[in-house]
Amino acid sequence: MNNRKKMVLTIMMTLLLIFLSGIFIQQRIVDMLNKAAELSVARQTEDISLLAAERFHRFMTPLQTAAHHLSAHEQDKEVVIQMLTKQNPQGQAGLIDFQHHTIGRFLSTTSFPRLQTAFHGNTIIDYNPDIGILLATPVFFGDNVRYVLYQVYPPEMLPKLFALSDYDAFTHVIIQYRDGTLAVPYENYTTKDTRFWADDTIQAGMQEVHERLKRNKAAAVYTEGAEGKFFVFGADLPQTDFSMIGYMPWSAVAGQITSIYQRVLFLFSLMLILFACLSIYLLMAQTSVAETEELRKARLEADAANQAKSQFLANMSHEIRTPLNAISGMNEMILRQKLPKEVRQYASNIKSATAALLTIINEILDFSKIESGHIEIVPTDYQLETILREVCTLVGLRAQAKNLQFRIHVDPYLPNNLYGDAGRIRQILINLLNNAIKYTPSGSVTLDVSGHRSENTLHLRAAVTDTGIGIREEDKNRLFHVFERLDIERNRQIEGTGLGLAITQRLLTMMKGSIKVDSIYGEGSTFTIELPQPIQSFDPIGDFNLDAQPVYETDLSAHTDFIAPSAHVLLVDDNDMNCFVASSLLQETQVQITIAHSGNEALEALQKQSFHVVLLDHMMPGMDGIETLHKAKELPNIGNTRFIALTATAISGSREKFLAEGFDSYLSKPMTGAELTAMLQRYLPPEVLAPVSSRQTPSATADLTSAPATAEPAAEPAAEPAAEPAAEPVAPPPASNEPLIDQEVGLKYCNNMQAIYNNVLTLFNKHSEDKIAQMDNDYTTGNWKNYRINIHALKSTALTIGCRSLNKKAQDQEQAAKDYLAEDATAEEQQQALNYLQEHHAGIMELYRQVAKEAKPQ
Amino acid sequence: MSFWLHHSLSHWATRLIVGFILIVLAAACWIFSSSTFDQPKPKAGIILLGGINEEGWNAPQYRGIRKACNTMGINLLFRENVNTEGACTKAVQEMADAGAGMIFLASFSYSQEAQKFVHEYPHIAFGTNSAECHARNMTSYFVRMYQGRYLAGALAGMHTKSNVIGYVAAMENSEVNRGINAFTLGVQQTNPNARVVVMWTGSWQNESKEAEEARRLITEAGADVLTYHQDEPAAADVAEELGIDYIGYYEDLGKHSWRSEHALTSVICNWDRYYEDIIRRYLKGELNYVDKQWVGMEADFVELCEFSSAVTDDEKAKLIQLKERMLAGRFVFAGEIYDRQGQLRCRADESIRDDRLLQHMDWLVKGVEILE
Repeated sequence: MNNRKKMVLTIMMTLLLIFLSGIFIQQRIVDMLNKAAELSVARQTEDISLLAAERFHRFMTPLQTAAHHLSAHEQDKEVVIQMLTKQNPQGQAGLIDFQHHTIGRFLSTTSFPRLQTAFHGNTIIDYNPDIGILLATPVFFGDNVRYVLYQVYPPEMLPKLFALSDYDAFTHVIIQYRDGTLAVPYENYTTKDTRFWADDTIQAGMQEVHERLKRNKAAAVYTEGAEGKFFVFGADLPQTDFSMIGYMPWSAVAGQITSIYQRVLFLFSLMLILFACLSIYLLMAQTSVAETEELRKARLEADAANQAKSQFLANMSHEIRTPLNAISGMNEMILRQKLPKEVRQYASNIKSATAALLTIINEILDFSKIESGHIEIVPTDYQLETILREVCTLVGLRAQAKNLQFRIHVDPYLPNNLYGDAGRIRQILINLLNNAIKYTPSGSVTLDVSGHRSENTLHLRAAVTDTGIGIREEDKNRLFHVFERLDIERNRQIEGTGLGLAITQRLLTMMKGSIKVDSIYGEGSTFTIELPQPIQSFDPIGDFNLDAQPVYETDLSAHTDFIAPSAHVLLVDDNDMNCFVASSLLQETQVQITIAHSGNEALEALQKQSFHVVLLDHMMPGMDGIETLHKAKELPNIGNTRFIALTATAISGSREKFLAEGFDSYLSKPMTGAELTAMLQRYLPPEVLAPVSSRQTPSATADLTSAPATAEPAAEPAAEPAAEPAAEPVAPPPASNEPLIDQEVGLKYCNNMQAIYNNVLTLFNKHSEDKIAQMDNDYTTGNWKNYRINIHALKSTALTIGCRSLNKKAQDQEQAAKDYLAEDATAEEQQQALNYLQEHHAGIMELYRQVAKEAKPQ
Repeated sequence: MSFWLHHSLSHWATRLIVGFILIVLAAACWIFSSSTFDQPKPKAGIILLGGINEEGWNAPQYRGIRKACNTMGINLLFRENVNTEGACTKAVQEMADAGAGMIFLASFSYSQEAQKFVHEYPHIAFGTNSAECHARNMTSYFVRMYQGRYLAGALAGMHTKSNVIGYVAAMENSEVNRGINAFTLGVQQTNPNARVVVMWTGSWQNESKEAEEARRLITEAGADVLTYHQDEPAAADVAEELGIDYIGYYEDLGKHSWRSEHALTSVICNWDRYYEDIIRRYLKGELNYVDKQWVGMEADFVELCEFSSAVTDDEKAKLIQLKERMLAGRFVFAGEIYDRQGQLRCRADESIRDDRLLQHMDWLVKGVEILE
């Protein structure tokens, strides 16, 4: 939960930031409010200073009037001074001339430095802490100043005359001289006040006020100290060396500010709460995201598991189908034999078991295809009747086998020609019918086919009714679930994957159809499907009956209805057994089969001669089927050759893939003889096909079919058995009491036809001497190429007659020859192969002679 | 895909919200930190007749106000070479638009023009150095240069051998007359027998005329000490050339190494202090409190700059004594003063009032001679 941690961290940091900036902003607000208050107090101070200045000027006016009078009446000096004193007893009046002679109140110019500027013609106000305040004005005579008239107000008088304490109840103002000495305190100024003014913070505030006054008319400073919160303010009095300084309590100025603080606090709390809510919401969102993340992981894992499952299924299908191919093929071979009844029974059981197994595998495969979306509905024109007939044929047999009555009712007015995926419809019907048969111990299974038309679409309706075990109401919902089988206890003995209905339902959904089920537990069920199918033509299907039901096959030995002795077929498969099975299955058709064990061999063969049909396995070492096909297509004169893919890779989409790659058709292994021959019948040119005239005709063409697994069918020139006696002493028979030739094996390769077999044996014997001579010759002259071809032929023919030992030895010898001839073989490998060849040649030839002798017809 | 979308969406939302909050906080902090109560820096303007690098009058004015503005922390606007008809009005208009709260008209010449426009800017405090111009929002600023002239005269009186002291003056007005009178009173203080011979050039800037008259004062009148009242030191250059003692004005001539010891001293004004005072008064709202503001040696605005080696210690001591006396109340224009016509301008027990000195000094003291 790294994200979550990050998130919490972010939120904490943001909260911290909000908190810090809140503190910052609050402080700023306090500062700003105080500054604003300072400004307004400073303005107020300006007013007070005007008042103070006014107060001084009030005392200046009589002085100026007197000075004016004196200018005209110089002799009235004494009178004027007396008059001033009388008028204003607190002020001690006096007159000073340019030589500093005084009349009235004595004055020393040194006590009041500003006094002399009065002689420039200016009125002045000056202060001396000991003497008091001096107000002076010049007395002009013409352009010149002759005297200065003044009044001195002693310190004790000052508060009464100049104090500004009456400004308002909260404000206390003193007048200071510029050096900071107190000039005029307010009235009732006590020691307590002295102490107040001496307080450090107040002093500091005053200093700040004086500092600001250097550049401002008036100034106010907020102070907060032991005495409390105050504004200290001050202003210089113009044209004097006085400043008025005062203080007022903070609350008197900024009482309202407190409410602003509260509001700011409230706003910030609100913001914090909002943010907290937001954070919680985001955290929850983050959590859900994290959950989604987990879900995603889980889904990925599930997808991977599903992929693995699909892969596993595909692999398994391949792995199972390959041996199954062999089993069913071999079994089919067995069934073709004339067999004792018991053995035939066993073989028949194997056949049905194999078929069942194949069905299961196919179902699983189908399902995996649907699940992975690889299946596609491929609509074509089809005839309803054909499908129904096929279905009934198949299902009828099963019903019959189970002693069930199988009935079919088809609405004769249904259009016969429809457009849809016939294969899938057939599959669905078979599924439903099989299901019905499976779960019906006795009674009947009925298929009702009807439908209704809307414009050009037929809503085909098929109902399968059985008298089986039925389905419980509560189980109906689970009916179409994958792998679910209902009523496990009771149905234990019934086989199946549990996929049938699921597949059916999914296929129907893909075809925009629907399925529903009605059932009474214990009495039976009805599965009804409905499927829209476009109508191609409105020809009615007519009366449908099951007359054409095929016969119940008991003998598989003869079912090929054509022969094609002149047809050339190339079979390409790396697996010998597969080659053998395929060629065996085709034996009856008498086609000339060439076998190649790899793509390269196939190409070689194709270069050598032309083939009508190539049966090409896909899964091969080296070049695979598709690659081989592509290379083959580039060969000249290949245009008429048809390619059919053979593969056990029956995974989804393989058919389409192969067709897309350029194959003409596709056969999934294991294939039956019927499938193979049907395929050939379809793809061989009609001129090479001939209908079967008689069941026994194969013997007439025994020559051609004598070596079903031979690469060179016509490469066995006749030879006199010459060296037969010479070989006898060299290699005594390995087991004289045991026949070298296994008649059964030999017969099998001759499609169980003794006549052919005898013929083969005769041929074998007849050609042996010649062959041996040829091989001896090749051996001595070192013509390994020829030697290899001959030994290869021996390998095949030996097996055909039923001699496994010779076949094996020939095969080994051929391998050695092959190794020796291999282009990339090293000298050492060649020597090894040569040693092997030399070591075994004589033995093989001897064995050949013995076998030939044994094969000699008695 | 959809999962990614969802994931990144919520991620984006988170970032967006956190970012938004941070931006809001930053904005709030910014808004609250830039205090609206910090008033904008005040602006002062000066309008000069000449260029700011023109020595004599203009450059010291500019340097002074520049230094004062820096000291007081205000912005300075200036216009130089404002010397055509109507240019001053235009410059003032521009400065007012630029937000100047105080404008100093740094030339006597602007007074006529200023009379017309100052009323249009009641919120701007004007300063002028002309005494002839009056308005509620205009204050005449003056330096008591005459105090320096007085001491310079005293020095010249002590230095002259021929008892003739030359004075090249621009024109007859209160300012020039005041300078001549103060100088002459200073001369008479140390040398009652000496005469001050004045020649009028008729203009503030006319180098050739100034030089010619300086030559005539020396050769024709026999002056052996020279001073002048002009925007340029042309007279001083002539005196230097002819090896005659001289005293500079407005400019510290002695600082030029090529000048000899004949450059006795100069009467100078410390413009930076002067302007600092003006600006302080402006900031304190007192600029236009009075019509006229006249300050001088008591505030060190005016002084004699460093003496040359030709000035003896005795002479220096005498000058210090005179200065102290003056500052103690024994004013220059106080005590018995007669004009050239013999009329008593000041009784022994009187001093002449400032506004008379400023505006009505239309006479010259006894002892001044005019050389035509």
